[in-house]
Amino acid sequence: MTKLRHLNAAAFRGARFDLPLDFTKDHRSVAIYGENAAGKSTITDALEWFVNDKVEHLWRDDCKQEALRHAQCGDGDITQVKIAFQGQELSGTKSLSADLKTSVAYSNDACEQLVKNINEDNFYLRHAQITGFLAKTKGEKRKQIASIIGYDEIVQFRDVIQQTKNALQKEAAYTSAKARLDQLKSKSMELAGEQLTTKAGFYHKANALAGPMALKTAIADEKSYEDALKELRAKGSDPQKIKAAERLGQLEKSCNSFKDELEAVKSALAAFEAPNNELCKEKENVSKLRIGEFLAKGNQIIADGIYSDPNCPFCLSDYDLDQLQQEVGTRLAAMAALQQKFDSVKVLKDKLIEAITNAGRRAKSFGDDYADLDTFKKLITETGGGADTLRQLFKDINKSFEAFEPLPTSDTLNVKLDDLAALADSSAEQAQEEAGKLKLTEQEEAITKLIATLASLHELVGTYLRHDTTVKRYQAQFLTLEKIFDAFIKVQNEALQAVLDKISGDVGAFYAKLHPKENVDKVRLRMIGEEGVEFEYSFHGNPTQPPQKYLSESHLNSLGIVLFLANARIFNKKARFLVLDDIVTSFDTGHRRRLLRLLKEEFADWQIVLLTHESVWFDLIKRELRESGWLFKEVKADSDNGILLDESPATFRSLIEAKRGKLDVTNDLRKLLEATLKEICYALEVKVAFRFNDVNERRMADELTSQLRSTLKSKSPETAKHSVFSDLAGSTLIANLGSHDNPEPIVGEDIDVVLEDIDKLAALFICGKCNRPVRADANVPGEKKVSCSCGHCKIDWKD
Amino acid sequence: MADKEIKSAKDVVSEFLESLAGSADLDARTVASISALRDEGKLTKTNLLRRLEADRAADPAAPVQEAGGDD
Repeated sequence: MTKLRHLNAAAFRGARFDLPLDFTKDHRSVAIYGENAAGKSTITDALEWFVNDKVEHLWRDDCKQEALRHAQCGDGDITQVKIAFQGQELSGTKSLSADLKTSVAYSNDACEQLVKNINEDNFYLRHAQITGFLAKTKGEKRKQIASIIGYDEIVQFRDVIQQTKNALQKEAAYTSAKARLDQLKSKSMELAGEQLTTKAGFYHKANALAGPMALKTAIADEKSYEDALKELRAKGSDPQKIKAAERLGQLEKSCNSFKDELEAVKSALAAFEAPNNELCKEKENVSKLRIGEFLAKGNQIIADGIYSDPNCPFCLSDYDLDQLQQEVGTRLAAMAALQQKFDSVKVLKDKLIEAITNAGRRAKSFGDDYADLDTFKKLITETGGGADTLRQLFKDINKSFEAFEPLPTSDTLNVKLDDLAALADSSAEQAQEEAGKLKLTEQEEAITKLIATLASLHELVGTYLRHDTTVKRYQAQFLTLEKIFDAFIKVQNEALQAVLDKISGDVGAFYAKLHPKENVDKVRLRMIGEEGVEFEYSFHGNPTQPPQKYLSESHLNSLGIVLFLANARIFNKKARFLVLDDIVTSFDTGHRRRLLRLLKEEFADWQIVLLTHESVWFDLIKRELRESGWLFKEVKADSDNGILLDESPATFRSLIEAKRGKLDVTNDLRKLLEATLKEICYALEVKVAFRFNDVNERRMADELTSQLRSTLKSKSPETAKHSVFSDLAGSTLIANLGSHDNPEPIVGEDIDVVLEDIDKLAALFICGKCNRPVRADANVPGEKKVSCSCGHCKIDWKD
Repeated sequence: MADKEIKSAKDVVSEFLESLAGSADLDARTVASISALRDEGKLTKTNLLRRLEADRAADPAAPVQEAGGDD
């Protein structure tokens, strides 16, 4: 695992110029204080962007790369975050140009891999994340926990099974086959007085119906059924007459069915037309639905960090991956809504296609089965044309749906269908009339009727069994999916609970450390309901959930913090550093102290970056953690320079170098002189007038110079006479320092003169070797002098 | 996963699918199709629906086939 060695952000968020943060070679923890809006979160943002390629709270509000650049950045300024990690040569620089192109350079492949691994870890916590997690539903919590612990594949598997099962149940082929079974059962009741759903049932019923005819043939299979029909026909005076009557009866029935089927086509067409034409208006978007899976898969590949080059993984043109991912995410969300619309139109289309297919088959059957009936030539010819019309309609519907082109108006088509229906109606009547002209005997009529009934039931059972097979195959599949889903939920929950138990050990222990003896204990995460995740706890000895039920805001806050800490400790693979950004706003002092002790005791070997905007809390952190080797920094914001982490002479020197020739550096020169004087005056114990709190810090260079000379006159008179004091007194900087808003900027050579004066002053009191000032309490033994830490730099000093 | 006691997501799903093999109360073709698509890294709703459609059309007596040919 690794820690942070150094971080530098420049032209990034609040940092206009370099914002260096050195964690020292010991990779020390650091507490950073900054007033609200001082820009301290720039540090968290910099880490998040460097590692994750995005800053979640900005990206969520659609503020992306543009929001990363400092507001006063010019076109030539490159936004940069440089991070060095613990270990040899593990560093990288991520840059963002003015045209918002991102580039990354790592010291070596090992560093690149390290950053990829850290990307999978949880290393930063902001207050908004805590409240965000607690507000999620139990199901959302399950997904988030699964994501945190790398269980995304489990969630994906579960979702595919559930979505497929749901989609399967809605498929038109299944729903229409199921509906058809019900219709056939009703028809069977009508014809046979019972529901015939098997061949055996049909044979049994056929024998019963044929009983009065005293047939020798017992119907037990298809062959004996055909033999029985022959035997029946032979019982009349003329088997051919019976056969003719039988066919006319079948034709009459077919004509009536055809009429109903044509009506079904018209009705399905009317239901499909308007929604389909509406969908066609969104042709461009609908046609892109086909690439939805491609986009989703690509997005996942980028999210998983499998592809990280700064270009489009498909066309390889330059493109920022974050931006690409966001854009694809937005497109996928819009696609989901359109997909729903598309799916419902597809169901209507499938029903229409089925209706056309049924009517088309029937239309074709007239020519196939009754071409020899001369008196029905018109029916044969017209239904032949009708079959062509229906075939064309079949093609048009599919073409329209696939190409997202609206259907042409159906008026002409409806006229054709109506004409066909009218012809079918008149042909049915004609068949009935012609059957009547055959003048069958009473027995022949009974035989014909029986044969027609048997033929109808035979066809009905055949059709029933065909649809039943379809339904059973569907049902076998979705019952299997349902069982798989139910079984997998148990497996998923057991796997998740095992992880939750692991986390809960730390969660409970950490929470107890934050809130001992507060009637809330045994805090753990548990699978709740079918597959939700929730915090469970004991309140006054009674197990309960959810946390919002009884817990105060600060207790809820604690839950979020301890969950983050427990997750990080158990699951982080590489990041042994944590950034806690303003996370204790609702804590009172006692609980804040407990949090510090929790960090001190449980995370002693971790590196913590703790940011706060509360000075009292910052003071508490200093008192509690100074002895643990923590560093303490204050962020200050300046409208010219952005945010700065310290006001040392070195900081102002680098600022002046960066700005010189481009921006006014007068204030920076003044601050450099003040910072140098403060360092010297502090070390020499120079006395100045008493002032309260922050005002004490705001002393100007002329006051500090004057008081320094005053002290030197009594303690080191020769030093007080050094020319640097008269040079400084006469310099533009001191001469014009009546106010901090010096109206006359120092430019050109004057900058060099001021810098030389400051260098001379520093050289007099600050050691060139150890870089420490001469101190009033560092007496040189045997000499009336004081020195710096190493003893190299000395000045005269009276006791 | 940092912790060895906790199974990886891949193992959880693999072990689960292995446990389904041969279950008498499940449609063997459906189980085989899910496993095959997962092995190919193609387990999506669309691919599974396509595979199930082919399964329904297949001769019930035909042996269960291995996966292949999906997007």
